[in-house]
Amino acid sequence: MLSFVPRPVIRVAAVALLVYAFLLPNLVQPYTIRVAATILVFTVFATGLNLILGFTGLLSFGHAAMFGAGAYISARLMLDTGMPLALVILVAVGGSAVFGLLVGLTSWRVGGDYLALITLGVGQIFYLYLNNANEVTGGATGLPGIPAGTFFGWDLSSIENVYLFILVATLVATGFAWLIGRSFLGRSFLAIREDEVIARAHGINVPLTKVVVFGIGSGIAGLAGVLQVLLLGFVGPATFTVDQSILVVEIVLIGGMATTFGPLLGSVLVIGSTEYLRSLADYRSMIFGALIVLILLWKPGGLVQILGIGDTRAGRFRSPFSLFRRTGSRPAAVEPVAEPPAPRAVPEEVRS
Amino acid sequence: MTALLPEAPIFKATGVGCRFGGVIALDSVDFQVGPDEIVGLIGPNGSGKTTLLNVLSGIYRASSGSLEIDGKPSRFKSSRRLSRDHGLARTFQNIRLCPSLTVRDNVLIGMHSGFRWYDALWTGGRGSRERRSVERVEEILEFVGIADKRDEIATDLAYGDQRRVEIARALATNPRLLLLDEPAAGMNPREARVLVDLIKRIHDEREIAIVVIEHNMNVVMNTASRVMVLDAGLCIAHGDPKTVSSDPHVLEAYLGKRFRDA
Repeated sequence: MLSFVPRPVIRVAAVALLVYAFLLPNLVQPYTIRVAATILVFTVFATGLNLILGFTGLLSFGHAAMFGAGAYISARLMLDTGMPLALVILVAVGGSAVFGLLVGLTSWRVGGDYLALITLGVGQIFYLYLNNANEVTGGATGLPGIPAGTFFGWDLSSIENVYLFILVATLVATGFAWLIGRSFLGRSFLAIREDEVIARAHGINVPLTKVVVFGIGSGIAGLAGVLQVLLLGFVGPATFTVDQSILVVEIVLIGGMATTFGPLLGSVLVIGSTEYLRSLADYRSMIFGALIVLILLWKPGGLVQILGIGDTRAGRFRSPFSLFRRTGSRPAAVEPVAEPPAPRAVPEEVRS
Repeated sequence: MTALLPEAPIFKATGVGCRFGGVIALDSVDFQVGPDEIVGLIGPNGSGKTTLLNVLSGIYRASSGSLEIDGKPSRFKSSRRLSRDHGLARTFQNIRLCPSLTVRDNVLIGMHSGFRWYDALWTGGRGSRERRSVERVEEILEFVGIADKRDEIATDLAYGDQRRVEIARALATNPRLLLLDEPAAGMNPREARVLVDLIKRIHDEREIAIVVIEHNMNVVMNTASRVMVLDAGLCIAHGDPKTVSSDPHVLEAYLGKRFRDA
């Protein structure tokens, strides 16, 4: 759509947007800052899932659990210990990465739709745990009153500063995912998505790579969880339901699988519209559902591909969203079979 | 016949069988490849050629018999380890490229064995090893003759070029033994001649042993130093191309009993 715009113009626009993003706290109402911060939190969350779903083609419908793990670990640490925020982030990200690694182990035995069911189950179990383990998680009421932190002397008690902190974290997470995406690791993710047999036959350690991508993707989601805690000063189980997992899948699909800025664009559209188009809330699922079907059919690179503003390695309809794909070997291409020679017509007079 | 066998085979299969339920795809096959050979593997459809290749490259497990690579048993080695540790590479009968990646990315996938997953975490795709790999990919693309198409999406290429991308990707693993599964399928005679040259060059310039399955007799007769004929999971003939092509058993398997003595 924007392909007629010269590249430099897009670059300048991107830089201008970035500057605007940094100046935002001085320009708009606190409510808008809050919405923008929420969008960024979901960008980070979706960036984690994008590595798993978009790059590696593994269906994870329980990603809210990793998000929640990061949030609850950091909330507990901030409430109970005087740990510096940097350390809290490290522990929370590490904790959710380990959680992700464990869930990722299931991908050794199952793939495709079954993996989707298992992750869905993990998400649901985790939600029930949050809701019922009163001593640890505060049960249905959650953990209120989490103190605002300071990050190396940077006071995060005002919404403006929290927003800026989240913005920086988003840039770090996006940059990290970008580096991974263009490295050999990213390419091995893509190879697994496209064809596991090929990946194996060319020396890629498929099981290890799958677990690694789950770990990295979950770690990034855990970071999003910490940011969420900083933003809200509260955690409750309602933020980590299976609905939330589905929402982030929506963001990845709409934004564009296996793209760098897909999570951001998807998040702007999905979260932004939820906030600003509340009158259309009843139709939201319908509109996004239709949009996802259209995207999967024609533009697997999502908004990034539709707008034409970046590389897309989203794959074709068959491969990226393996709900519609058999796991294992691909059906053999139909080889042309020589027609048997037609019986020669026997002239009338000979027959008689 | 035995005089033809290599002195120190890279790969040695003895009495290898492979069955799927009641179907015997491979009955009992002896197979060897030496370090400086091009072995042709022919046979009618369903005779077990591709199964043999899949067993050799670790994609299928042999149900019986023994396999050795570099003198070590390999029956239970995964295709990843055969590729990484023993330099075994292959192409596929039905072209299997990563459809949405560029030619260069496809070939780069062949270079993964030299990388550990955490390398990416601190080099972010800019490490010296990655840069060297990209240079090597350029060299390989040049070698197979598709350097000008490096940035195209692999599946947008013509059929013959897709085959060459597959060969390039296999070469990127730095193999000692290359298994080609019907590389000339779907090629026109001119493309097939270019392929014959390419196979010879891979063998001569890169010193890679090659096993090639092919229905195109021109390709087999012009490249292979030794030909093995499979039928119904058994080896029915084995020897230099000339002898094999006039072997009565081979004629029977391909054309039927009637032609055996014709």
